[in-house]
Amino acid sequence: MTDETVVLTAEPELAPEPPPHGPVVWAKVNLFSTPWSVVLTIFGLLVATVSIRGLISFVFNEERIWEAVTTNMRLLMVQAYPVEHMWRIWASVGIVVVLIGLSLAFWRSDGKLAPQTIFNGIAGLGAVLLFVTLVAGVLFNVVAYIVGLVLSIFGADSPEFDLLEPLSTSQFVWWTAIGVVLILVARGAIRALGERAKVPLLSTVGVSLGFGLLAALSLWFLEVPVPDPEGGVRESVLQPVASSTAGPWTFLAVLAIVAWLVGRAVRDYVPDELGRRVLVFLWAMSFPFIVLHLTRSAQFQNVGFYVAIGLGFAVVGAAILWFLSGDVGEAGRGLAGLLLVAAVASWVISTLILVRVLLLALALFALSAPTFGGGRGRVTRRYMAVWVGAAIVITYLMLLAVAISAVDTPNETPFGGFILTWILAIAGLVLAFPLGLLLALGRTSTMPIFRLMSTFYIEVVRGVPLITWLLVSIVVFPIFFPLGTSFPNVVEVIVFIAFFSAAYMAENVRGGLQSIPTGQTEAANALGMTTLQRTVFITLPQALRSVIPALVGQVIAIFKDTSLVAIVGLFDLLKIAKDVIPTQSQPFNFLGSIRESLLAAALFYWVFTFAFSRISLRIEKKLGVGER
Amino acid sequence: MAVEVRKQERAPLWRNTTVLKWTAQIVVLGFVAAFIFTLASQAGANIEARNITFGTKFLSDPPGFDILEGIDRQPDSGRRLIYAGIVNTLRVAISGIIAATILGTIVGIARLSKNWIVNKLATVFIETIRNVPLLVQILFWLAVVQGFQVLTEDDVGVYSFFSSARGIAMPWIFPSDGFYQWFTFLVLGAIAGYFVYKRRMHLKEERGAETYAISWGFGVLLLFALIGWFIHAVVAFFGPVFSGIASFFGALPGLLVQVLLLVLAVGVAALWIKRFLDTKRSAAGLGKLTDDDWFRMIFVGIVGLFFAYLALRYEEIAATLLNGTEGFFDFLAAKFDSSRTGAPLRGTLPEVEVRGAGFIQLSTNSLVVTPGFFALWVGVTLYTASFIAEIVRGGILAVPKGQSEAGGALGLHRSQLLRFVVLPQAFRVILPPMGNQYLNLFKNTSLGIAVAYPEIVQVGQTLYNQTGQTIPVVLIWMGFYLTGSLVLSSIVNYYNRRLQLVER
Repeated sequence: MTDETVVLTAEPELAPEPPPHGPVVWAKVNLFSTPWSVVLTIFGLLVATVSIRGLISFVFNEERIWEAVTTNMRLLMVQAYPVEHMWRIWASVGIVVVLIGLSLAFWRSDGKLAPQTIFNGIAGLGAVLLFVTLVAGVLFNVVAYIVGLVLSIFGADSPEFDLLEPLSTSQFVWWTAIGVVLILVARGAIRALGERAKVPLLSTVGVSLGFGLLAALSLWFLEVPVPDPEGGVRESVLQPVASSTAGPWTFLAVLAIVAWLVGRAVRDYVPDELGRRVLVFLWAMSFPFIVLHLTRSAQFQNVGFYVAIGLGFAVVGAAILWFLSGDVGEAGRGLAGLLLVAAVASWVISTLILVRVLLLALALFALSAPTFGGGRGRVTRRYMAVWVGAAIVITYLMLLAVAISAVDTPNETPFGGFILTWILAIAGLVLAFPLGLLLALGRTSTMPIFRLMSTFYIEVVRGVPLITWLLVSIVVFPIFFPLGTSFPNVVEVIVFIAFFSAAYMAENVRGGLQSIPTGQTEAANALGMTTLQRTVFITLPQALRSVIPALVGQVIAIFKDTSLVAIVGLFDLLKIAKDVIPTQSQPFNFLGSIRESLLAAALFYWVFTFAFSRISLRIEKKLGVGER
Repeated sequence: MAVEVRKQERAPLWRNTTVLKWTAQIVVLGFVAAFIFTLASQAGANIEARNITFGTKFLSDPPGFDILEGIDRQPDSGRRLIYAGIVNTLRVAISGIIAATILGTIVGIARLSKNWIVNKLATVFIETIRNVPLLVQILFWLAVVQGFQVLTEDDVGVYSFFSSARGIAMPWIFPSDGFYQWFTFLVLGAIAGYFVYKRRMHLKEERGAETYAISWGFGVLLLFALIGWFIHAVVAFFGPVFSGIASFFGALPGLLVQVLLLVLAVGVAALWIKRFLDTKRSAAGLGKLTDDDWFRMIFVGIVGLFFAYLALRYEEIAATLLNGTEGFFDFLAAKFDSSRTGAPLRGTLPEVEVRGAGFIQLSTNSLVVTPGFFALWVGVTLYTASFIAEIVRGGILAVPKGQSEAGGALGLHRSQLLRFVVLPQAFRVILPPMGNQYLNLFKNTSLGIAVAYPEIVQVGQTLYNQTGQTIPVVLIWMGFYLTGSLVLSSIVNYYNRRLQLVER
């Protein structure tokens, strides 16, 4: 036997051939791979050309009255909110912006981005500009020429087209030039950076906030068409954006960046869990604070009286909870039951509404004390602290509910325009969430009467269109209350939007509840958990986590659905766009500008729904739903 | 240490979970009932104080206004008005569902195209349409139509296509004199064609050779249609038959129908309970019934008895049923009248005409798409199509890649792959969410109220503005939409069950 030595000669490693690239190869692969693909490309180019041409000739048509939109921007946003109080709106947006900045930092939603990506985006923008002006313009004329030739064979008149008719030559040249410059700059930057362009080191959040700041800064240089006060009917001049608009937006953009940077600096010294809980609390409180307090400039009444009641409940309630969390046996249940009876009774007899709510809350806290309260230890103290916090929050909210608005507007509420759209959407959502949760639990419950009631509610509400419910809210709803009590239409509509979206939300949550493996419930039962404990600690958290994308979809749906309130006469963004602006004839003549104002409204809706849907995709990816 | 072994004790009543759960349910039910009762009695008091009486009289009274379009523009009763509104709703809903399905499927497939420009176009379409509220879009389309040219005297004449601010007129084929006779032939042809198709498919399986089953089936249908076109008058004998059936129903005593309804209600409930018990039964006998099972059976029984009671207590239900059936057959008898011997179909061209003193309008002889219909139809179709496109895309992506690879290995073309391998499997995933979109479209037609399209919500609102009968109108709306949703979802569920893989 001869020793065979196997010699492993290392072949020189060959780097894989870089795939061929370049515009020609790209076009061959993506546009002209098969004869069918060639046909599709030609068809697609035609469709794109005609649509872009149509869009341009619509937007830049001399008959368009875009001044109607620019002049009425405040009307669209806040309707008749008084100018001297506008700082309240800005402050509200400021609060939201700060919270967004902090949340972005604390939820560590930062990704890394290669500079290449940004420059590619810029080059893409340039390409779109080039396509719009050069390709679409030229191609359209070529097609129009051929069509004209064919028509002339049959003896018909050939239609005449200018090069991108509605665009002036200077616009045409400028757009082309900007497109070319953008592409060249981006390409040049990528080439100059070389390999470094591919290293992901830019923060995605930072880049987005930076672009936000750039957009705000661009307001200082932007010129918009406004009606010419000295010109005739429908003469317009270009004017820079008012600094009362550009200024606050710039400040807000800077504020967002500062908040984000502060959050990044602070988050390393604060436990994530704590920071996030505080932020969730702030988010939850920001809405009532903004809507009921800040924007209304709420004038409190009977503060001392309310605070005394609230504090009394806080102290007495804490003591009761302390008592209940000990080993008190059936006496505890008896006491909690008594509290519940008292709470129910308080709704029947005439009592201060604050007392009713506090009593009900206390009864619920007392009933679940054995579940969450622990045995007079650290857990109990925390539970009591939560109760005290809840009592304070409830007192504050009830004070706000009865407070009088000091902002004087011609409406029954100080809100209108886009602000109203947001308020309807958020209020509908916030109120719908608890109800939707209860309905979902009811529908998946083993208790038949609860299941029946939930199913009935969900199916009836979902089976009938929202506009019907809104009409009911305006026309029928008041019949069910004593004569003389009248609610503002806004309140009626919010109640019905909440009822409506609760049914949809319940179905989403039910999907999550049913996706939880039975093993989870069985394990919880094996540990001796009560139904309440199992639901709160085991099933609900998992269910909610898995339905977050669906719930964001729900948010988008509600946001879009709020536009229906325009039909029942509330002055939201759409109502102003469709009924108010196109009927203005003084001081400027905007009659017949409905398409312009509708497109502007559509743009506002689009920006936010599109952003929401992108966020939803990100969350989905981050949670890894469907991959676990 | 001694371990104390306690005898198994029954938990005290207030610790027994069954008792506790039922107590909680009954208490909550009581509260809900009390709440509803309070509201209802408050409403009753208010109605009395305002001197309104809600009733059904407005259904038989003339509504006192005309509607813009529909089967009956000057309805003679509220009932007829609501019927016209329902037909208008269904018109938009059904045509919208068909169009949205076709468009959505095309865009969804385009969204997955390897062709860059087609792909991008589809993406832009979807992201633009579905992120803008439907109402905004509908109003925009209305504004677009209303921006069209205004009719003047110069426009009078006949055209092949005409668009104006008053609507878009296009050539159309309408059913005419002998349509129903001819339609009988179509039905017969469809039945015959189906059997021929079956037969050819059978032959195909036997011989393994192409037998052109679909072409054969359609050929037979076409043949019947062609023959029927000329000899449709021969089925005029259906007329007397139908009027005979109508008089038969007219002569039926109402009591008989009441008894039949009663038997039906009780029978369905009994059948349900029996089926339910069957599912609980195994070889070892009837399994243990939980309190939930008992509740279900008792509930179904009560519902059955309740309907039986309704049938007995209100003779109007039986009378309405009888009258409706009689009317239906009378209607058919009139359509099959032997004097109706003209052509079954009638083609028309758009025409601008002068009516009265200088009032110029599009002739209603041809099909005129009114601005309201156009705006609503285009709006709901595009909006739903953008959602359907995403569903189709998701469904196709859900088909494992191995399937199309295997198909490719068998030598199928891309189009064949899509038609025979991918789409049939994707359809299974697509159907349930697609059904939801159909329901949404159906409900979204209610936005016709914003563009003055006389669908059920719009006519209902005008009706209660005139008569003050808010609650009855709302109940009619709810009844209509709930029935419609129920019908649509049962159809979808039926197909869904047929399509599901049978798992063992």
